[in-house]
Formats: sequence, C-alpha cells, structure tokens
Amino acid sequence: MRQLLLFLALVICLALMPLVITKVYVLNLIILICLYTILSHSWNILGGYTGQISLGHSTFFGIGALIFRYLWTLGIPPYLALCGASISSLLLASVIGFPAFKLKGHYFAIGTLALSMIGSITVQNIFPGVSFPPPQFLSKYDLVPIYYMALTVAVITIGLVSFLNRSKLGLAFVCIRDEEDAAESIGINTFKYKVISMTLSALIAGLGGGLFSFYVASYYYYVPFELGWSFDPVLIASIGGAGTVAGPVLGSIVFVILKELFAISLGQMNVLIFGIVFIFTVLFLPKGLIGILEMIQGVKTLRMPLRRGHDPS
Amino acid sequence: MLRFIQILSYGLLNGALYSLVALGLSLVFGVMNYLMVAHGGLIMLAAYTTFWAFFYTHMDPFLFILVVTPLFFIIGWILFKVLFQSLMKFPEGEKIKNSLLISFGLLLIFSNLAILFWTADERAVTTIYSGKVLDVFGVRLPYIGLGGVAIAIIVISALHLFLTRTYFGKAIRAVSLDHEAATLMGINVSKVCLVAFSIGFALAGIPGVITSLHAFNPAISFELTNKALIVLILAGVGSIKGVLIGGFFLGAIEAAGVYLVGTPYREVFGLILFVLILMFRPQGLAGKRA
Amino acid sequence: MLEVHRVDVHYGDIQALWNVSFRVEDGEIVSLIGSNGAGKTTVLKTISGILGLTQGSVMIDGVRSDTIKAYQIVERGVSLVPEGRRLFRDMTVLENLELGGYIGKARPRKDENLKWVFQMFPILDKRVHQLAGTLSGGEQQMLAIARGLMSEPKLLLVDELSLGLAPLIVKHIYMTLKEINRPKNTTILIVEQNVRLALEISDRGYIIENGRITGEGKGSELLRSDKVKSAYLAMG
Repeated sequence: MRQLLLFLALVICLALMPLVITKVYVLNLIILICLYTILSHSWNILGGYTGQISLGHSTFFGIGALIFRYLWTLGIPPYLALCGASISSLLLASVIGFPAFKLKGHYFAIGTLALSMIGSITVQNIFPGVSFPPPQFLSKYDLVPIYYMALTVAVITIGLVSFLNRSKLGLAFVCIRDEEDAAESIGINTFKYKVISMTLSALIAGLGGGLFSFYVASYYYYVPFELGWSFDPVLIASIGGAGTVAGPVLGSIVFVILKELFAISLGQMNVLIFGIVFIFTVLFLPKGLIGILEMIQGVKTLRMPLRRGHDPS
Repeated sequence: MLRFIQILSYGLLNGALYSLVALGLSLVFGVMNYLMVAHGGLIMLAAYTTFWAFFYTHMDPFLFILVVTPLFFIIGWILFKVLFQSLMKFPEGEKIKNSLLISFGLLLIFSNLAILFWTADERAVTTIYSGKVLDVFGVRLPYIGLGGVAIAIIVISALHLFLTRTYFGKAIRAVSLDHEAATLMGINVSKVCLVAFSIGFALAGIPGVITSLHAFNPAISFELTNKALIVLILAGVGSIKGVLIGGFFLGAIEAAGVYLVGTPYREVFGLILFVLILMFRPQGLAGKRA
Repeated sequence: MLEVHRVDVHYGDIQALWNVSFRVEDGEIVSLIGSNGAGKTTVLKTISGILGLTQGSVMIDGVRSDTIKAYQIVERGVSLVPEGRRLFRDMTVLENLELGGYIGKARPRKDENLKWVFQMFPILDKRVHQLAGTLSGGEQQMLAIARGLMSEPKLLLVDELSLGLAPLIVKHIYMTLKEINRPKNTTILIVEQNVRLALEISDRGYIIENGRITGEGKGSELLRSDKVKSAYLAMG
C-alpha cells in the first residue's frame, strides 16, 4: 500500500514537472527513461516472467513505430494511432506465436533473433528512405504532449505488470518459467500461456514503438527495427531485475544516465559497460539491482519469488 | 548460364567459409549445450588481430593462422575458467539459459570494444593475391576464396580425424552424447568441456583470418553469428559432416537468392530457410537429434 | 572389498536412502533386490559417485570413495553398467568398447580385453562396426556389460539388466556373468527386480524396501525364504 502511494506521488510530481521545469534536456531524459522502461518491461513479461528469452523484440517495436507513423500521417489523432500501433504488434505476435513456440529454449532465442534480422533487412529494402511526421508537426515540434504520452504509456505499462505480478495469469507465467514440465503436468496449457505472454509483450512493445515514432521527428524507416532495440531491453531488464516490477524501471534509469554521460565522449560505451555488468549480474546477481536493494533493506519489493536452485541429480 | 555458374561458384566459395564459421559453435553446442552466440564476435576479433598483425609485421594471413589458433585456444581456456565454469553450480535449465545470456553479453562487449578501439570503419588485409582470380572456362574464382576452401577442407578433415581416431576425440563425442555415461567411462567431463570450449575458440580464429582478407568492420560480429547459427541448424547438432554440407548449402541458397531476386535480399533467403528448418526439421539436414 | 556404511541419500529435500549398510567381499556375487522405487538404482549411483551422499560412507578396498569424483572412482576399479544401458547410440560397437577402456591403465591391454569380451559375447564381434543404437535389446545389454568390463574393474555394478529383455536372453546374460566372476575374480553387485535369476547366481543377497535394508542372507536361503517368496516371487 505504501509503495502504491509513493508511486502515485511520484507520478503526480512527474506530471506536474513540465509546468515547473522548462529545461528541455530534463524532459528528454524522462521521455527516454519512459521509453526504455516500456520496452524493457515488454521483454520482461515474456523473458523475465515467462522465462522465454526473446531476441526479437525489435520487430514488434518496429511495427509499432511503422503503423503509428502511417496512421498519424493519415490524420488520426496520436492516442488512437497508438492503439492502432499496439494492436498491429499484437496481431503480429499472435500469428508468430504459433510457430514460434514450437521452439524451446535456445531455439526460441535464435528463432526470434532470425525474426528480427528478417524484419530489419526487409524494411531496409522495402522502405529505404526517411520517415517524416505529418508536416504540421514538423514545424511546431512540441515536447510537452510527447512527454505526457510517454508518462501515460509508462504508467499503463507499470500498472499492467504489477497487476500481472499479483494475478493468476502471472503465476501461470512464472510456473512455466521455473518448471515447464511440472506446469504442463498440473494442467497449465503452457502453449496457450506462452502465446498470451508473447501477445501482451508485443502489445507493450508496439506502444513503445508508437511512442518512439511520436517522439523522434524523422528517422530512417529501418531504425526502429535495428537489433539494438532487441538487445537493450534484455540488458536493462536483467540488470535491473528480471521478473520484477521495479527492476526494468531502475535499469532504464541507469541505462539512460550512462548513455547521457558517455554520449558526449564515447558513443556506445554504455552498451559496453552494460554488457560487462550484465555478465556479472548473470553470474552473481540473478535478481539484478533490485536484489541488491532487497538485501540492503531486507524488504520484499513488488515481485514474485524467483526459483531457488533445485537440482535432483 | 555463365552468370548462374558464376554466382553459384561465389556462393560455394562463401559456403566453405560458412562451414568454418559454424564449426566452433557446433562443437561447443554439441558437447555442452552452450550456444555461443558470441562466436561471431570472436571471429571478428580474430580478423582485427590478423589485420593489425599484418599491419605491423606483414605476416601473411594464411600463415598467421598458425599463430591465431593457439592464441585463441588459450583465450578460450581462460574465459571458460573465469566465466563459464561458475555456471556449473546452476541446475541444467538455468545453466543453459545463463550460458546463452553470458555469451550474448560477450557478443555485445566484443563488438563495442572493437568500435571503441578501432572505430566502425571498414578494414581489409590486402595482399599481393587479393583480387586475383583463377579463370576456369570463363568462371572467375578468387584465389582467396579458393584458399578458404582449401583451409576448410584441411581443418574439417583434421577435426574429423581427431574426433574419430584419438581417445580424447572420442571422449568429446561421448560427452556430447551423454554426460553421465561418459563419466562412467572414467572420463573427466569438466575437463572435456573445458578443452572443447577452447577448441571452439581456436576454431573461431581460422575463419577470422580469412575474413580479414575481405572488407570487415565490427558489425560483422552479428552477421557471422547469424551465419553460424543458420549452418548449425541446417547441419543438425553433433555432425561435423553436416556442418560442411550445411555451409555449402547455405552458400548455394544465397546464390540462388542473388540470382533470382538480387543482392540486397541475399541474407533474407538464408534467414527464411533458417526459420523454416527450425520449425519443421529442427534436427537439420544431416543431424540425428532435435 | 566394498563397504557401504550407514548411508543417507537425498534428492534435494527428499530422502531416498535411510541408514543403508551392507558389504560385498572380494570375488563374491551379491544381489540387491527390491521392487520398483525401492532405492536400488540410487544405491548404485551413490557407490559409483554419480550421486552424493548426505550421511555415512562408502569404502572400496578400505579407502573412502564418497569423497572423490565419479570419474576417479572408475580409476579405482569400479564400473557401473547403468540402468537403461546408456550406450553411446550414435557410436559404433567398437567405439563404445574403446570408450569403456578409456582409463589410462586399461588402454595398453585394449586388444586383449576386446578379444576377451568378444569371446564372451560373440555377437558383438559380428556387429563390431554397427552403430550401437541399431542393436537389439539383448545385444545392447551385452554391449553395455562388455563396455563396463573394458576398464578391467575389480567391482562390477549391474543395474537392472533384465528390463525389457526376453527371459532366455536374460538367462544367457546371467550365465555369462558367472563366467566373468570366476576366472578374473571380478566382484559383482547386481541390482534387480527379477529376483529369481539374480539370486540363483548370487552368493549372498540383500533386500531393500523403501530406501532401507530389510533383510540379508545367502542367495539360496533368500530364494527359499517366505518373505521373498511372497513379496517378489508371487508365490504363497
């Protein structure tokens, strides 16, 4: 309860921010943090909660951006276009889900990787040009509505995941992650739930893509399909704490700050550092940064219990 | 017609390289179920190593293979002890998942390190025989490509002999079939995994050297990993012969793609085939287990 | 030569063996009999080092073996023919046998040992270059035992060899086990559900039920005992 109040207080502060702070730099940072939170939570649903390591989220992100741009230039208001974007990602996921989940473990990971590569190359070839926003927006580019959309979508995402965290659906996901065969044997239709997980995950990724498209005025069409958008959420969610609500948020904050710190000097250094921290996390800190916080405070944050290692041999 | 044979020839020459690229990945995956997605990054690093060695010492790349191979073997040994051995304490499912994640992290680290040190600019080692071709009835076969085929044949034959004629090689095959049964033979499975992993690294060095003779940049880490994965799936797990066939097959498929649709879509053909095989025949063209 | 002393074994939180103690002397054939799930395979896995024990000790020739790794126990002269055979199915009969003789001290005598196992199981010689997975059930069991012998063990552990095999073949293999025992004085510990055949060739036997040893005696005694008769031989 206390956490919910804290969270609400934070949201209200953030919502009021544009009225107080006019520095564009700060608003940009927060938008980016929201964007990465959304994207990494989308991976988190499939990877952190359901245990299916996907390396193909750039496709859902990209489709979201593509459809959003398209609908927006047709004159459809942004929030509706956003819905359209997420629905299209959702549809794509439900179609892909069926063949995709024939694959387990490693094969799923490389199958999704192949998917994102196919997406990337195809878009590069079909739409080689630059994507522009509707002309009227180009002239009066205003950060504030973008800021509010970012905040809204981020809050919705976090809300969805915390709902998942306490729901039977979420429990089914975690069962599949921890012990798929056991889950199957107690009557959980693992295939069905995996598809649901992927669909939800894609829905959120599509929202993220739409937000991206709303935020970044012009970009090459293939940019939201780039593999980085597949990899960054894996890093962020894992380091922050996969399978938690606060993990991806924390991870995104750190990621964006590092990115800013190094953008001036060394380009992709943030990915390099994250890569190293990531490996360290996998080996020694399976619960991510959230795990460290928990240890310090002795507090159980908004999470489902992660499995304890249990090896019968 | 000539154009078709020309394109096919290029495809097959590439195919030899693809086989080499996938060899290390296939070995390690077969033995311990670790999918080393960082393999492409290793090959890229080997290419840079060759490039700088050539830059400073003018050592011929093909000769440099003799240096790179033991060097990468040692690097693999160290990396396994430092990173992957601590995974042994996890239960099997977690172990596999974590090895994938660590390897993934390594891939990102390698490619970003390369960008950091050497920028994203394209490099290539240019020797006196770069660009020279052998003309066979009007079909142009680059010497470098032919060299690649020769190396592929030598390496794969050597590996095959090692795995079928030596005790340790047979131990490696036994471990990739059944860890527990191998232990019951008195085989130290951990040691076998360590050595196999190191061989996998060494096997990344060789295609790396050949890659350095073409234009390359840090981004090829991902492309090469991609190729390796495709060949792995085409070949099926646990089959060296399959890797050879798979490599050439991929080369041929890509050639078909270029011939039919044009160069930009070359990769897509291979990728779609990849996804199809993943779904309908995961044991690959030559392999026996899914 | 084998002494199992007050051993407890757990699978995670679940206990599988309670205070198990028994011994096998040099050159004996001893059977460990019990029904499904009684813990027989667990015992053999613990002796061969695949499973760790949580209490107690295992000693081979007076030296503790539960503290060393499984592959090192093979070097100490213990060879397990596992349940389900666990052959290297994609490798040939010959390669399986060669791997059986992997340990350093057995390698110099590989050819002699091959000759010996081919003498005992001539069919393996006929199929020497065939893939192990293509052999029939009985042939696979013979190969598994032959493979286990290639390391020149002092103690051979045989887990449930009769599973899935026709009775005549099982009888033949049991007769062959006796031949293995006599000339080379190889100690054999057999684990079986098929109680009669095992006890018929055994010097002594132990009964295990629900992870505990509940009886012991000479092979012939146990065969005649009422308890064994009613529980395992479906008589009386």
